[in-house]
Amino acid sequence: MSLIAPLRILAKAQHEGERVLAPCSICYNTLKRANFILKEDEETLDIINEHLEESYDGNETVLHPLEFFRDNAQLVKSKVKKNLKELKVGCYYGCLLLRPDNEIKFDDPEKPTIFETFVSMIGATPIDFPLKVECCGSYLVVNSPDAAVEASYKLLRNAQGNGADVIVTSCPLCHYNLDALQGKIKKAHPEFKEIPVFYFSQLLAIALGVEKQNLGLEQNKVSPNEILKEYDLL
Amino acid sequence: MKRIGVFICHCGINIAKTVDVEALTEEIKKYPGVEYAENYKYMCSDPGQNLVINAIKEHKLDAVVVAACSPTLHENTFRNASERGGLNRYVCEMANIREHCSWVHDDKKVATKKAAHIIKSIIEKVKYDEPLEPIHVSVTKRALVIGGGIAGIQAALDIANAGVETILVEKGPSIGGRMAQLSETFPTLDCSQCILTPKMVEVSQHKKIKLLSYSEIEEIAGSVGNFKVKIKRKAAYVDHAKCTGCGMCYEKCPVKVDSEFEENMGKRKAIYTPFPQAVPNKPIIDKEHCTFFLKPGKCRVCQIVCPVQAVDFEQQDVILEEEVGAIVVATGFDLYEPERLKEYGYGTIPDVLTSLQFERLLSASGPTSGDVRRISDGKEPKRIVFIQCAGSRDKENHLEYCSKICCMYTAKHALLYKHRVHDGEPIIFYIDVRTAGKGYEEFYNRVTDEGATYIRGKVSKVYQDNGRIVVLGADTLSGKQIEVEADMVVLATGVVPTRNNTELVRRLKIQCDANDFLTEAHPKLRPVESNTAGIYLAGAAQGPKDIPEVVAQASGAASKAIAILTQDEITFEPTIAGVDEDLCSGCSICVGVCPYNARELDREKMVIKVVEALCQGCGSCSSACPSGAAQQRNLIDKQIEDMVTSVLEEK
Amino acid sequence: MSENNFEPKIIGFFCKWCTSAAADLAGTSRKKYPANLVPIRFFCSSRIDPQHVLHAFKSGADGVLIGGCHFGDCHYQDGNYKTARRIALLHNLLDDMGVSKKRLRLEWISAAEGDRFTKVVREFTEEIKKLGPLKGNGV
Repeated sequence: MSLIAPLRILAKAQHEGERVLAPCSICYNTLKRANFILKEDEETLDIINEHLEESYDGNETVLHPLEFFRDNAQLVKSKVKKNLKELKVGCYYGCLLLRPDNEIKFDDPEKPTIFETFVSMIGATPIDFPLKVECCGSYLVVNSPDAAVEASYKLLRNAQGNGADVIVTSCPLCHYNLDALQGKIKKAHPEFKEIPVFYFSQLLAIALGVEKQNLGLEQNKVSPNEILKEYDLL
Repeated sequence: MKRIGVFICHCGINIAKTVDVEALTEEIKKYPGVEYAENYKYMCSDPGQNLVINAIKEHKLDAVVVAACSPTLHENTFRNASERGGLNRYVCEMANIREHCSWVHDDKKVATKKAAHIIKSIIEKVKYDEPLEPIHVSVTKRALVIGGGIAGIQAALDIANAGVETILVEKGPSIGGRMAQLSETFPTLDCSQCILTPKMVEVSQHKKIKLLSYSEIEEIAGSVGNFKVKIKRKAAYVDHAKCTGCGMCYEKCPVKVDSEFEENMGKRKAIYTPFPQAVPNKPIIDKEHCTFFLKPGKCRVCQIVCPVQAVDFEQQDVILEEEVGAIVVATGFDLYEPERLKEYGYGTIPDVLTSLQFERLLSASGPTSGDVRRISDGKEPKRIVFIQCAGSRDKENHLEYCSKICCMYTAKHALLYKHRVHDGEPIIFYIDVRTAGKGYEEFYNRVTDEGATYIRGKVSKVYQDNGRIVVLGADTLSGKQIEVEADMVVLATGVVPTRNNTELVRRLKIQCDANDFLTEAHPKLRPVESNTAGIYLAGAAQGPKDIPEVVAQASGAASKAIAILTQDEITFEPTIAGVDEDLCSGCSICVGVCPYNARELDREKMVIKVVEALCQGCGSCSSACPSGAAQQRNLIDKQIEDMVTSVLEEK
Repeated sequence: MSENNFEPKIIGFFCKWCTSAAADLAGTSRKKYPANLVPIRFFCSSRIDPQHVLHAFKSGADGVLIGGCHFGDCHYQDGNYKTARRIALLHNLLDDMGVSKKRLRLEWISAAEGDRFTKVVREFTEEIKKLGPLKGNGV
């Protein structure tokens, strides 16, 4: 049953003849795994197809924007307008982008590099930190918020300790935890210094010179304005 | 047409109560082929057996059927009696009219009728039974032991001490195996080299042992009692007959190479002995790193300094051909590749080590002379985290099984570390602590008493942050996540059978299990035999085990070999499968079906031939053969069909 | 129940290490079962050729029961796996020939299962009784 939802999307996309680009880690994970499960299980695919308006043959390609950027690096580089060289960006991958490795096959699940490649591509300085693939607490934020606060604190502290000015992420839930929970983190750990968290599309938009009012910066609970001003990026 | 004698047993009232033995005898007398029939109270008694013997002689019988109890009880009794009467034992069969008839039915009429059917079916069988002779195989009274670790050493010594000549083949330059790499052994903390080297020396000096080091098995042909083996003695480029082991060559050799014996934590030379107590203590040249071979003409230092001119760059590999009667396989183990445990950082963090590497650090003859030091900066580690089950007991990602020795050796490591670094802190992450051997639990208690901290939980990540090693794990007993800063991390990596062994296993025609461990004939009752007659298994090659178990198993394998090798010939039951060459087309379907590799295609005659000593007589080939060329002796298709027909005919 | 006077003829092909030993045990335990089945003993169930089964049916058997060892227990390593495959194919063939698959039964009975052996023989005999004589259905 849980496969009907992702398959409806893939079927529709296939019908329109397009590849599917999923800019959210969770969506990407769900769609890719649905594809993987059905490759092994034709019988289930047949059953589900009976319930869909358009049928699906299991062959739709699901891409994450980071994969797209990697494969079109020159195009991206050619459009960069701002100089982000001084900006040290901690690349936070989280869980669902990378795991389970045998189904997602996105990048090395312990030492991935695709995000750092993207950050370099737009001219910023990527910061590697050991906890970049650890969990932010995910939807524990709903019923065990303390767990999410602690998990996010450890990650942010680790990134800061390795020199990051800002964090970039590709999952809306990770973004929420790392960004919106910083108030609670500060309460639990008074020595904590706040650090802005970007969604990767925001960082890309900044690099491409998109106007300030279209960057959605007011959605960032921890305001990045100060640091962007400091590096002349606004 | 055979003259068949049928003897029906009353078995007291066991049969006679429910089966009308008199009426039955009369009916059987009339059956075609029956020359003589009688019944008696207890056929298995002496008088009963004499009835058979006398009837054979008097009535010139050439086949016997005894209708009585189950053949599992008395088949041998009556076959022996028949032999005493001058009959071939394989033309004597039993019909089970007790367990399969009189004991399971109540109605006398019904039971008697069924008994008649059973007896008639066996009469039909015996009509086509051939007189068979047990298969005799003469025995070459020599043994081959493959692998020179403690398993191979023990097996070779036991066989040689029984007076049987033994060839011990070891692929490395020295015997000793993994045990030679250990510092101390649990639970006694015996110095490993000290208890091992006397055995190694005994092997080298034993009159009945031919030690072939730096050698590998090229080819094996033949079967139990008569194996023909080709052994390649690899070129050492040193004439061991001249070499005195003085060591000048490796002292002067300018090339340094990572030492395999030191688990890449120390260096050796291009001409080297792996460790000071090596047996034989004669160096070999590693061609792949030797300057003479890499840049011809640039270096001959070893040759120049050798006082007895033993260095010979012209030396070639030599192939020896040996004949043996039994083989013991003792090829040992490797460690699971620690790089596969990506989350533990082996290979990227210099101070994350395998257990064998830590063992070398502890060893007095190791790269640091027994000082426990960090690889990165040479400092003494004040806190070491030991991670048990690194790769083992992990069905989804790595090895499903338990590697058995790691709990004990980790406890040993913690204790020895404490002894060397008095203010050191050993912390051990575990799932369970398995201490099943003699003195093992006591040892573990001692280790916890002397200051090792055990944390129940798995480690999820080891990483380096600003120069420190951080171990992220769980403490399940307190329900918390735990972060430990360590100076060094030691992985108790899983045990796997020695890598790159598939060729050898294939040549031996023995089986491996799904984890590549050698398969024993029966997991409970036949732990030292392989499925191939004459080939025995010993040591960690068959499954993870500690040293006392290895030694016990090696002696067990040796005793099996000795049982064969002290006889002039061995005999096998002849009820095996044959080949009718007229019917055989060489299709080879039977070859694939045989679990014992007992059938081979003769490419010249394009027919199958049977390796009689290997055939166990299951009959799989007989039913697979499309032409009927493969038939199991004394259970051919005609016999089976006649048995079936006789049971179903008439009312 | 059935007022059938029909007494089926059943052949049992049993391997000596397991099923035949189970039959021995049933006897030693003095279990009772119908006498319609006459056993024939093999070293291994893999010796049983489908042609033996067909011969049995042709010669008047109404049912055939094959008994071997449980997977993993075969005295000759993997004979029972071969038997399983052969009988699976034979079942399909019987189907094509219009012979009820129920007349050929394959069971794995270990030497310790005397009770189970008894139960299987009783059940099978009862089943064949219900199916009626094979000759009536034509082979």
